[in-house]
Amino acid sequence: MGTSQSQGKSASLRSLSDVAETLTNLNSSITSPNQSQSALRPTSAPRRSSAPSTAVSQRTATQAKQSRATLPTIHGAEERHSFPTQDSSSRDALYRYGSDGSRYINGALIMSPDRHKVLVLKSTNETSKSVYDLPRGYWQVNDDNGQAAAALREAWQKAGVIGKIIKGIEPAPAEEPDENGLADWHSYFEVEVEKERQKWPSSQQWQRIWLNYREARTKLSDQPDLIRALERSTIFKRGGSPESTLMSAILPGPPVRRISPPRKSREVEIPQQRTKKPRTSFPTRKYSVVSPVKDNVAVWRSDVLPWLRKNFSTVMGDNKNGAIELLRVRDQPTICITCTDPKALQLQEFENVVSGLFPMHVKPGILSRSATNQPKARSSEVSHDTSFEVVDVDGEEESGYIDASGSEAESALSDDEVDSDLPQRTFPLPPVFGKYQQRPSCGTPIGVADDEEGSGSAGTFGGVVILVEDGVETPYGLISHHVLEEKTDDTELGVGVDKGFLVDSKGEREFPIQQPSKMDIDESIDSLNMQWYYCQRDEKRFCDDDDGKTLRTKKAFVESLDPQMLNFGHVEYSSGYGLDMNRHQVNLDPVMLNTVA
Amino acid sequence: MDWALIGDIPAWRLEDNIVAGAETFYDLHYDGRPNALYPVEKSFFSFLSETFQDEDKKDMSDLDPLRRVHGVGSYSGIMDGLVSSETSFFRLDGIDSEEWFFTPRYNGGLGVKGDSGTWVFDDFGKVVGQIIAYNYSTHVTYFTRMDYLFEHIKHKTKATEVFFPHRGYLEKYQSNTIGEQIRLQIVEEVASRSDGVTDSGYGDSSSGTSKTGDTEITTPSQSSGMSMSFGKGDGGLGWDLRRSY
Repeated sequence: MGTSQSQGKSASLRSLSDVAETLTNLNSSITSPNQSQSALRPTSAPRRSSAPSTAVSQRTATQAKQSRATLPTIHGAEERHSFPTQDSSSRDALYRYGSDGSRYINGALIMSPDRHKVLVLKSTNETSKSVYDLPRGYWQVNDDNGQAAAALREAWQKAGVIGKIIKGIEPAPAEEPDENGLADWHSYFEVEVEKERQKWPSSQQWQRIWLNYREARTKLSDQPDLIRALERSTIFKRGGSPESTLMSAILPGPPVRRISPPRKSREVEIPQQRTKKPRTSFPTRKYSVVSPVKDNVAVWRSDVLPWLRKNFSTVMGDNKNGAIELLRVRDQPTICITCTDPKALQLQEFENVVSGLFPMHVKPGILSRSATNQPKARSSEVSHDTSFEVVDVDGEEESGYIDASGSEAESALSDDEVDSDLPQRTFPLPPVFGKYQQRPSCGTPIGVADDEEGSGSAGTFGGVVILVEDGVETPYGLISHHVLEEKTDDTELGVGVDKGFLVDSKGEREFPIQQPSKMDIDESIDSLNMQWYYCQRDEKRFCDDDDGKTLRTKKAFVESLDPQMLNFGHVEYSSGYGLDMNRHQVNLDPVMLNTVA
Repeated sequence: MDWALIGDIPAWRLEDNIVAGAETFYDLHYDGRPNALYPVEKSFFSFLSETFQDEDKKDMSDLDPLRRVHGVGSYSGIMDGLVSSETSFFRLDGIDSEEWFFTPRYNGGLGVKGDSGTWVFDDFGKVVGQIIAYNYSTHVTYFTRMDYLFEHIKHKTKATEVFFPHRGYLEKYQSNTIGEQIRLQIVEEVASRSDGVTDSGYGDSSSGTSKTGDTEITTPSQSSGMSMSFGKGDGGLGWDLRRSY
């Protein structure tokens, strides 16, 4: 971002946004020499803000800390200085935003001609937290010609490489949503080098190094989005570490076939191996499923599980949401307790029961139903995440944010070469738009058709089941009840839809279903209108392929969707919330359980 | 329990249970459809514990097909995960329950917001559960066992039997007359709105102000006919009026 964009930009485009960019650049060069990094998404906001890069950011960091200490549930307003937030008022005019306030990150995987190496940037600023990076940045308002061109711009600005796009890697939302629950869309492109210049705009901040796949993975291990792109690229992946077996790619933990060296002869080297280990062995996901063989699950089943069945509610205390599960953390079966407020837990007795058999990890976290509801509810849930300290029963203390985001070096994603063998189309393009399908089947987005303004949620259509009622077989579509209504304090337990109506003290309601959901349609309309706007302004980004015919067709199609087309029946029966004849319900009378079985 | 049944699905929109875009993914095991009048795969869950008992000598923990699950979420698309052999306990909005869970392949993968209601298949194509919630800290997805869910449906609705339709079973409920009619109507409408002005470039005549920088515009080559598929890089706008598998 250091200079104005000379590459591929016509002189005639001296618009307001150019001026805006120049201003921003000026501004950034004044406030911080590292500002070029602020164009990147902070992978871990709190850590970044506390990085002692400048006096300014230090000050904001302390302020942010203070505000977090005093107002734990509200985001410190000061934090907004260190990174952009999603309020439309505070949006940066330089960047493009999605309808939910997230942004688009475009990056370049610059490959060597033999596809064995990738160009990684090393920050010349030793103090910055993410030392290694790929050339990438937010999609700017005046990036013409699409995201690929934006990636090429970044390749030039950050790495001094002029090249051409070989292949796009499927875009994906950020692996870890930020503190507002928003995930930026990351789009990466493989770039073939045409010219590698010796001087380039950001040569002061970034140094170029060529790394093979293994090395690049290790260096970028704290940035899961980059790892993901790397995994999906066509870079040559064999070679490097001999531990890269298929097995260890799927399940974390030490590779099965690893032979442990005889201890005696290697005694001197052991400390060295230990310090090296996190770097050489590739990172895996932090929380993984336990293995009944390696982990002592029998104890869990015999000693802990039965007790927990009876006493789970007590352990959770006043928490509104929470979960306890046995997971493997750092190669060890660990009881993970997630909850909204660790202080409200009643752990005494539970600890006695566990009696040191398993380590326990307690941390605040977000546990949420998988339906998409209004963004309001979303942000209030997320705000818990950064504000609490983690209490590790082991005595170890870590920052909740790091823990939750899994962004430590050891906890990036699992390696998988398996994945590159999968057909690409199984990983769809950003599915936010929803698809109209004349005949929806498993996995189709679906929602409640509701006329009240702003309401509406979306879930997934499971599929069709057949109910035999009085000898008559009738097909029904199966979805989740919480797509119909959110659980609030007023919700009456055990009341579900029966014969088409939900009858409670508030009266009776019915739930017509539509496909796609209202949210999906709104989002499409927004997006199409945006594209249409640019088309009409003679910017050919979205219409240069076919003069905008596709766009017009889509637009006309979306506009022609009428209730008759969208109609997908209505909810006939549903479970409702709450205690009911349900084997999953903890605390139920065992006699009752037997009758159901 | 967390389920809802949609009745009165229009006959022209009813479809077999098909895993969209999964042909190749599921090739090894089945033909893309949960095949048959399988009530529900109960053995899946008993296997999770049974394998454990005689298993102390051989290690089947890696890449174990018995523990692998798949699903197509409307947000995440198709993805797999590893189901845990142990259940978890969780509380949502004050209601406690014991549920099974799996870890999706990627953090933030199958099970995140928008994916609720997704059916979970085992590695052999049988439906084992339905996704209900996601834990954003440990990145695990909770799901309800399908057989429990069916039991609950029977309890709530007085249905005597609940089962998955096998391939072609829904034929007697399907019809295409209205669908075809609506489709034609839309094709016509779309055509009249968008195709009539093809030759004047992308500046639609309805908005008189657009400039069409004549020099750069080439006549679209593929303007013949009404193709309703917009496959190429359209950022996910997969509007599709064909039968889409």
